[in-house]
Amino acid sequence: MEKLDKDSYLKLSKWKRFVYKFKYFFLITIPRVFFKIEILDALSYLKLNRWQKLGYKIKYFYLIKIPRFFKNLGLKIWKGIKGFGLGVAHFFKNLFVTFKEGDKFTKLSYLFMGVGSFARGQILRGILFALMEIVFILYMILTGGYYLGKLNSLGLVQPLDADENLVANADNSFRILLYGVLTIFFIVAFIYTWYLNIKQNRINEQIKKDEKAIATTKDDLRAVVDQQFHRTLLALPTLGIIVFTLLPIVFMILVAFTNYDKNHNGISNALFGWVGFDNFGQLFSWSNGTNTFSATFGEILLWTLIWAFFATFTNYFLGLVVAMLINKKGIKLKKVWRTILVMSIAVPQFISLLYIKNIFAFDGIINDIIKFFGGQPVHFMDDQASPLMVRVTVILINIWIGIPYLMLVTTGILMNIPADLYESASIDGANVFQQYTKITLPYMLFVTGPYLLTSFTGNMNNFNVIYLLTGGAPHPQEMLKVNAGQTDLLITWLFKLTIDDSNYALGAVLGIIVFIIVAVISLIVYNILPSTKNEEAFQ
Amino acid sequence: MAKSIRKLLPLFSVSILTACANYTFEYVIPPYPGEAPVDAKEDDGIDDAGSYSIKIWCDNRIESLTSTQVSSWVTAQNGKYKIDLKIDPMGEDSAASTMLEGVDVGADIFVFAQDQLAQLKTAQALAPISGNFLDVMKESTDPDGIAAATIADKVYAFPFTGDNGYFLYYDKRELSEDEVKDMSKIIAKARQKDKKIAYSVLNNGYYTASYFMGAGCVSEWTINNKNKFSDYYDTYSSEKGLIAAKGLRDLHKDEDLFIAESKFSQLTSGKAIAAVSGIWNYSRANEKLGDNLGCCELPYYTVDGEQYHISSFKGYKLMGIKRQADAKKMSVCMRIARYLTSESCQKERFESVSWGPTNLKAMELPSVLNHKGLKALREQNAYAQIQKPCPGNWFSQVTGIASSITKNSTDAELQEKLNNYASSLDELKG
Repeated sequence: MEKLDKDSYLKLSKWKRFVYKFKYFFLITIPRVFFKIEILDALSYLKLNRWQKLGYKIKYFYLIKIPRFFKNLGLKIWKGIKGFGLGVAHFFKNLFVTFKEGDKFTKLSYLFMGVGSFARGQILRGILFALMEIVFILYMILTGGYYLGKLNSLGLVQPLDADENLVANADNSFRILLYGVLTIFFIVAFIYTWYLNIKQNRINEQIKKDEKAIATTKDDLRAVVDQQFHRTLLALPTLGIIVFTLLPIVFMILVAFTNYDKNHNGISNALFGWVGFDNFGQLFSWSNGTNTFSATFGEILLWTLIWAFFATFTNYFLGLVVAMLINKKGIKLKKVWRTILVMSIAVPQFISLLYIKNIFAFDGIINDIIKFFGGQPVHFMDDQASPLMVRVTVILINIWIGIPYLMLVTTGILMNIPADLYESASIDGANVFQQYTKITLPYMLFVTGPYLLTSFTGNMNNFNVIYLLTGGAPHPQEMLKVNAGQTDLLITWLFKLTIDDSNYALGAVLGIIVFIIVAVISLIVYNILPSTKNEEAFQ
Repeated sequence: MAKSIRKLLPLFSVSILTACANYTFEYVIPPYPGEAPVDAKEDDGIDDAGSYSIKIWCDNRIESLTSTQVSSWVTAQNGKYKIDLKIDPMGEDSAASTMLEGVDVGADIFVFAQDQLAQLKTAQALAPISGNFLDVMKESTDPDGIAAATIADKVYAFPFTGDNGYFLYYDKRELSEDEVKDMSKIIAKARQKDKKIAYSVLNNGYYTASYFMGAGCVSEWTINNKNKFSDYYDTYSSEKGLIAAKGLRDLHKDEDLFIAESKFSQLTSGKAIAAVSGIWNYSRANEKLGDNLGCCELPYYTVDGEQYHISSFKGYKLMGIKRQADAKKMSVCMRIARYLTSESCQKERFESVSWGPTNLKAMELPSVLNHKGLKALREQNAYAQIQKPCPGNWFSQVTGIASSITKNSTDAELQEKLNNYASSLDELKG
């Protein structure tokens, strides 16, 4: 906060003075008294010695910056809620006002969609609105109502009776959930259309009042390929995203709150139903020492993060080094080196991974070579290997896979760095290492920041490398109970739980957790990346 | 006038279409070459005549054979049934997992490996076999096969092949008939010749169990009326289990000699001297090695001066029928499955793909008795345990014992691994 001098303080209104005093008390007086931090102006800051500056910075960070961050966060959330509330209020107010001030057609449109449009000569719009209403009502009567009504319980008629005979008209939890969600989507779409239908009336009445021409069907049709062309183009993709992406995501999120597993498959043995947060509880009940799910989850999560970190940064820096080596003046046959590296990209990854797996197998080539030189064969990636060995091996192999990609990506960017920067640096006496840390690296990080972020999140979900190389091995006896191994990532564990154990509910929970972790990391990192803030800095 | 006719035209076409919908086209099945087989003629009084659409899953090697067999059965019924048959290739190992992904779209009749029986029962994907079908099965089929298809006194499938176990393959040029009786001699020979042994005993529970069962251990699981594994009787962590664990520790001293069973081809290419595998590799081995191929029962292993004959699972492939809401269709499916597992069909299958029969008469055929692989399997059966339903994760727990043992493990450590295993069994319940 800004400190005011006496004059400007006196100029404030009574209310603002109160706010100022309030703020001053919490942000300046309390920190000063309790935490002994005084906010310094630039001059007094510069007077401090090096250690005092450091101390000031640390204090400033913890006592001022962090509280300020949370304050701003709180404000943002409050603003969001307020904005949403205002929007809802505005929506209802609009509905009310339109009804009150509208003519009889407008009023009729509240019940029979499209009446207003027909009355004002907009036949096409009228037909579409009326059609929407008819289709909606028919759908709700014929199927939607059934599924929506059962969504609450996910079905009551079990597929088997007490003697294990098939019941004729049994419910199907899977369908109820899927079509229930679809029905809700449809209801939302219907409400939106209904609102549009009312809004149209208001707009048209206004146009009439202003004595302007109301758009006819012909105008509408023309608009579809003219003013509204962006909507025409986007209609199909949007529908596709809703049906093929949004619907499955919502479905999957909901599965996490059911007991959908091998004993409740919803079709042939028993229905599944809602269980609330039980599945999440299974993963997070740390207090219970014998709870193998939570212990395994902790270990796998930690390894997933470690893996993502190393897989990303080892590849990045080593790829950069290789690219710089090849780019260096005086290196001959540059294209040959690049081609050799790129060859490994040309082979599909899963083929090269399976190949590498055999090379590192206990009876593989590497061990044959070790034996040839008189050594003892080593377990690299199987169940007998030590976890550290497997983890290190996997990261090393991943370097081999990743370097060519990074080399390709960075070569172009490296050539883009202006040579005069290096020239002037060397005139100023900077050595190679200084040039690297002060010119190359900042430039690279600036340009490839977003790439680093995506490759980090990509590595968190790097199914191929882990599943094909180790399959999660080694599998200690305790982790086998929940079908996991010590090099499993969350994503491969999810795969095993759903495919081998048919534990779809827990798989969905893991999916949600992976999403949350990836989303949080991406948002935070994305916001602090320089490349997203200051685009001009390096031009 | 013309105008009014034009108006009526759509009405005419609609009525013609409706008429078509009520008319069923007669489906004619091509006649079966030769006389219809005896097994196909049956009459037990159930009135299930009609037309059905039936989907079958079986291995792609017997796809066309099965299709011919079913159509011959239909022909023998003198037009009682009209079957719209659809056969999809599906390996026995993946039938259950595919079925569990969506029971409602799965096949009506399907072949699966026996270890998936419990999973399928849990998903309620199998119809129990009863009445005349069960009586005929009991008269004509290998009783061990029926036991393998039984859960809690109910039979859930027709035994389809009786060869789902493993035995010893060896190269006669490398090993003598005397040497193949003793594991240590096989290992010594492999070491001497610097060749491998394809035996997944150290990293696959299905094979690891052979050592434990050889020492006399059992692991039997009970399924309660809620289709859950409710209880078990398990002696893998007993003194007998310790004997097997010691045997595995000895194997770990030569672990570099052992390669996975999946690398069976190294036997035929001369890089391995012996392999423990099942009948599924027989034709490949026989083709390559011919007279040099030896097949016999598994050897014994020695711990503390005592000999233990390595055991195996006596396993079956089963033909199951999905539960049907339509009782008539269920009856027809049962008839077809009964026919497909009958003597004549099993004989045809043996002749075409050498699969071991489960029908008592077919098992006595001279060609079956003289089959080198099936003969070895029969010898091994004296030491084998019938494979019973167990939780899917049980095998990985057994693998866990073998892979956590090292050549330096002390006896106390071995016991600790076994205790870990025992403590994990409670987790497998339910």
